[in-house]
Amino acid sequence: MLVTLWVIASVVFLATRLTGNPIDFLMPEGLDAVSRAAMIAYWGLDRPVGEQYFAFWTALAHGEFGIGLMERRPVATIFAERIGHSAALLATTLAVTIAVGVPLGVLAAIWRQRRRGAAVLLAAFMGYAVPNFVLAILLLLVFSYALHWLPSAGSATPLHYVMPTLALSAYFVAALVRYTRNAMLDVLGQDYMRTAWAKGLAPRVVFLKHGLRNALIPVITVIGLQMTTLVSGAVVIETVFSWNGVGDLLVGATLRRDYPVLQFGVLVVACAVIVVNTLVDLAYAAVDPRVRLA
Amino acid sequence: MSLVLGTTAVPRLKLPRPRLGIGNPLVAAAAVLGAMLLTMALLAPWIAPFDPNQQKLLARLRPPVGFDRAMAQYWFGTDQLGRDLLSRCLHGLRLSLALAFFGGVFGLVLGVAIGLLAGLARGVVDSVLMGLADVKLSVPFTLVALLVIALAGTATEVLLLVLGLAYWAHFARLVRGQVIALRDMPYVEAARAVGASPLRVALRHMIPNLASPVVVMATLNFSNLILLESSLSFLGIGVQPPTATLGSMVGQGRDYMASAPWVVAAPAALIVLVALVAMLLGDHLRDRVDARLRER
Repeated sequence: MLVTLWVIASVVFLATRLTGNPIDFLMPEGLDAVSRAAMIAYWGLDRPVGEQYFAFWTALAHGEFGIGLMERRPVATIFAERIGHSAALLATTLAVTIAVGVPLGVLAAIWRQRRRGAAVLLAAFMGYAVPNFVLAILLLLVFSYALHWLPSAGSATPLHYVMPTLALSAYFVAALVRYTRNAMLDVLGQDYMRTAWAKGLAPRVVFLKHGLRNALIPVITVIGLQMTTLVSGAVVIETVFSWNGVGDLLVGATLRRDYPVLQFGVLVVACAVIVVNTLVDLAYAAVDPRVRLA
Repeated sequence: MSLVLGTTAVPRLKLPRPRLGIGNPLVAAAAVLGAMLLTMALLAPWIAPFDPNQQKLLARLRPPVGFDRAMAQYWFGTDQLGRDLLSRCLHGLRLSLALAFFGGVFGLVLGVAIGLLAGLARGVVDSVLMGLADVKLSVPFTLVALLVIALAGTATEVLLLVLGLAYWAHFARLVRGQVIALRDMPYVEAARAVGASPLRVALRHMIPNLASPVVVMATLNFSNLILLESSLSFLGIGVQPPTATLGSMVGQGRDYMASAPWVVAAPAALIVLVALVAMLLGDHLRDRVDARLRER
């Protein structure tokens, strides 16, 4: 985990140093050679790469993450203001995804021979193929522009959460339905399921306690694996709905070549994803008692 | 298989004919649609009625044929600069498909090479390469894309690089796993024993045997690449205006969609259609290959 972070930080550092001098993007055109040299010296860009690399880590260790070039404020402050909005959107999305995806997946498995099951699968397939920004725009057209029911931008009230959450979660609901269904189908054929039926247990107990509990293990793995995709999707959705979060910030930073913000953003988000993945690993233990022994 | 009793003839073993399995009507429809989209994309410069970037300010935001204020020569209507949407859709489709295809090929070659190297070299090389693949898989790729684009600009080559980098780790892991399984096969051992170089073993004996899972993965990734490219272009950091891709058409039409939804509708529908077709065919191909593996 720490090695991963070290690699990410180093790649980010090298990438920003190898691709030309950032000064040229930042300074006004026609800057004279003397001030240009002064700027380069100020940012320490004339020193050997090894020394810069050392300085980079020293700064990180001191909690100095750089100054945003556009806002002229420490990047850590800029992120602190926004990361809560992003986390809230991810949380509602994750909640909706699990609350809708897992039950639908279970139902699709139980209904595998029936029309209803096929309908759920078909809907899941559509959820896969419709990109989140197209869905977002469709929702905007209907619920904001045509019906005026929901606000089109911002993150102030619970109503603001409806469309971004829907647009972002559609793909993951679809993914979860498919994985849950497959996992359930694997479990339904097991011997212990036949035993459970033979004991005369109620269908609810058979499906949920014996079936779902065992099917959940691969499903949790998938939820963990999808975290990176979820964050990628959030970047797009935040931009569409002018969501005041990290994704919106990073897209803006890309358009304006605001390196300190981008650099820090990649590190912070990578950290967050790795932490969440660790939490997912811990969630195994809650579902699968066998993991606790290991 | 027919074993006719009472004759002395040796019953002939009938091998199942390889089939494409177009029996499934959904898959057949997807195949036909896919062929049509591909033809349209390939022929775009010749079948598009207008130059996709030609602006006619007097014919701005005209709706598609069949609506009020429509102009007969603009079948899909026009956008905010009076450009013909049908022509832009055709050219956009062409560029989107080309970027996803060549980006995918780039990622495939890179990933297969790294996977082969890791699987054959073992040891430190293997650990380092697979470590890198793990890092790649643990970072949301959009962030990497943003960083690369911020550093290297928005040229089409950069976008190709980004699309190529999107799935190399998936291919590398798949290929490495296959290589490790194949490495101890008798025929590979035999090849080595008669003095074949590692390169020859990799090219002649490994690659043909791991081609089919790689091709399946590439097909499944194609729709993801379409979506990735359109997302980046939608955000304005992919293909730059005035060049049309499906994503950038949706992105730029967004500001006009309240009054002129058709500007967004046609390219958005095309993205969904392409992704759906690619996904259906990829799924089908995977099932076919899996089934064949099971029959063995």
